[in-house]
Amino acid sequence: MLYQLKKCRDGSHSIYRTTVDITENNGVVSFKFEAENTTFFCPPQRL
Amino acid sequence: MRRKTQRFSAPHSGYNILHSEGDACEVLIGSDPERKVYYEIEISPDNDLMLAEMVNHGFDENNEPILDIHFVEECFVKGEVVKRDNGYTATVTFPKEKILSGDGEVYFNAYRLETDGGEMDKHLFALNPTMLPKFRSPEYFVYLKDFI
Repeated sequence: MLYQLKKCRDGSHSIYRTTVDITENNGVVSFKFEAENTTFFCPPQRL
Repeated sequence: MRRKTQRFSAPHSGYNILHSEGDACEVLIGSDPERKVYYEIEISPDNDLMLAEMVNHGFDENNEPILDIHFVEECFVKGEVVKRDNGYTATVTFPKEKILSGDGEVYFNAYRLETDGGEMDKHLFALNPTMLPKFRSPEYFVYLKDFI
């Protein structure tokens, strides 16, 4: 089923639309995120 | 966040990279009735995966979670990312039996971190908002059976 993510801090509408579709078939679980508006920021590994 | 990394192994390129300082989608999921032990699955727009068993010992004096992080060497999560002009689709798929961390009902929460190019904590979205600027709040986990 499809759900809309909300702002974590206060539950208000998220500024960038984000949905997650959650399914389970034959014991296999899937989370499909649709994330709008991003800079694709992926920093180098830091340990 | 105080991290006690028990062991780190990166058997695959792009696997078990700590990328939570960038953009990512995350799922915390488990079945430990005390909600102390659960799995954390992260996927970045570059399709880097992180998979770890987390042991949450509560919060320190600064209200930061005290976590033991046990990276999972044998990745049982399949990740897929499709980038578009204005966003991306990230999918994580895994056998439910692999994330069982106890004999209770399976619970979870789902999140998106968006940094707008690297500004930490700028945007944090949640399926079940924690009403905090942080997302590691086990009391806000919801039951998987109610969302599928």
